[in-house]
Amino acid sequence: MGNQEVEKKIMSIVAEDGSIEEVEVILAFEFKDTNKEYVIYTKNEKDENDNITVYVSHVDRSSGEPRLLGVEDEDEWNRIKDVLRELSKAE
Amino acid sequence: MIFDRIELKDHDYGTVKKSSKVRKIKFKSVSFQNISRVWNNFRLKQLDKKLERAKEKTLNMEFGMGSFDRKTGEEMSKAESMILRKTTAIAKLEAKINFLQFGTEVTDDFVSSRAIKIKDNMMKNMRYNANAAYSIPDDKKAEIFAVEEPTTEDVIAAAKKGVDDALNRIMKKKPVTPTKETTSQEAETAPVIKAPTKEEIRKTVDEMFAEEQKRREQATEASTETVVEQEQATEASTETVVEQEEVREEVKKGLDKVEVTPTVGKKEVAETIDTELGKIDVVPTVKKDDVADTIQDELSKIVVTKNQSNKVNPYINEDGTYRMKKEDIDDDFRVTRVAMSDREKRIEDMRNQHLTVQTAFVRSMQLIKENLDKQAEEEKKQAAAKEEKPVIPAEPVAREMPEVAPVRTPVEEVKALTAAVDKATTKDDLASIMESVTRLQKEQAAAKSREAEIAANEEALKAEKTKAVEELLAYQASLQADIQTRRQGLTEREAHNNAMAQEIDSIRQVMGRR
Repeated sequence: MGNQEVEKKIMSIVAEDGSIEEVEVILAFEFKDTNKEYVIYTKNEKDENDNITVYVSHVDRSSGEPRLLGVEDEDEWNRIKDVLRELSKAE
Repeated sequence: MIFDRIELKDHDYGTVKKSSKVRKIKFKSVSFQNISRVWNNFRLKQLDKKLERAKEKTLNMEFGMGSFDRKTGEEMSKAESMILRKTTAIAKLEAKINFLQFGTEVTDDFVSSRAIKIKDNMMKNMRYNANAAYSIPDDKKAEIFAVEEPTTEDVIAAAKKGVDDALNRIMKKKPVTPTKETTSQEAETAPVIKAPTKEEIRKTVDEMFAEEQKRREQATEASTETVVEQEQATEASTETVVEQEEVREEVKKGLDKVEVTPTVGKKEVAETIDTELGKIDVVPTVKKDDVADTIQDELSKIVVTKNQSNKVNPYINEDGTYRMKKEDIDDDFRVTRVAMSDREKRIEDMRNQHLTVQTAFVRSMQLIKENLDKQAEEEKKQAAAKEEKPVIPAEPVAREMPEVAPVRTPVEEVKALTAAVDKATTKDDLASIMESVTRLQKEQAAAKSREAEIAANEEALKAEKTKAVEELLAYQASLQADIQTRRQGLTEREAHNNAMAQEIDSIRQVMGRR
């Protein structure tokens, strides 16, 4: 299958100060062992070396509506980074 | 394997709250795209699964014989609408898959036509198998869904046509027709967008190519024509050069014919000016006689008052002389118009004391003189040192006096004044005579000032003359300078033309070699 013009998945994030920001979701997954869901999104920011910054948040659905939380645990963060690196090398 | 540890997800997040700090990481562009591709492929697979599920649900719907009532047809239409709803969902899923795969969007009309096609096929096959079972056997699934898959070209063409139709609908303000409760017959006659066939597309492309070819040929012809025109222009320019040479020769001939005086002496210029000025009617000096003539002309303009006009004519001859003697002149006679045709003659006659050449004014002056003489004698007799007051004559004085007083000797003037005094009877007469004398004196003063003015004008005229001479000399000099400049310009142009001719010759030689 091709990946030419793909329909973007847009997510609107409401910050603590009430401001709303639209971002593009590029990946969403959950670990099978912890059932923790994560969403990876981008604001399409590029630096001087043409590197793109992506953001990682934990999706919390315990209160019914999804909420984005930060990854506090370093081990958890390392696991996430491993997943991302592995997917980035996928052909 | 990564997918042993994780499960990809595809949720619609919509609007979410963020409550704590976010982790971030940077990727190179290629890595980023790989991640994105993995997830998109996952999403496509998810959609395919949904499609399959929808198809399964549609196929497994219960269409038992009992539910069909051919007489009323009501349940059939319900079943058909239900099927259409399902096939619409299937068509939408197919459209979405197409978009994800090829990036091509389709219109609602395409989706609806696709749904109707699937429904028709389903209905056809269901009727065929109606007696057999509730569900359609697996081997029939392929037949039911064996609808010609639209090619990408068809999809694109249909989409474009759909857009056009949508626009037309909007223009005509027609609502979008939802495909509800349509029978197969209605579906055939419904405004379904027919995707153009391959032959039509090929024909359109051929036409486009033909147009493009024609355009290119025309452009080539145009460029060829342009080249031909440029060559013709080059030839024309050479002809122009030849013509310029001819023009140059003509100019030379013309210049030779031009009589240009290299130097013009001041003497010659002055003589020329004198000759020209001599033609101008400028009076260097003004003679008194000429002035008198002028005055006479001016006086002739004086209009006689209406009430006395009848009295004027009987007393004035054609030559301006009075026929009547002074005694016959009416006291009330008022003459404002003085007909003086021969002024000098009258003056001479006055000098010689010829009363025949007299005007009322002159006559009055004589009377004044006589009166004054008498008065003077009386005063002398009385031994009083009085001033001789002039008296008005019996005849009234003309109100409109000539600009220049008559030229008389002082003796004559005194005599006239004296006579006027003798004639005066009242103080008023004397006062009026005095006024006349005063006026006469003023006229004499005016005449003197006029003579001074004339002298001044003579001086001014001389100065003008000198100035004109100088201006003419200056103009002459400027003309000479202009001629020099033009000669220089012609020389330069000649040189330029020579250079151009040489250049063209060299170009011709080069082109000849080619």
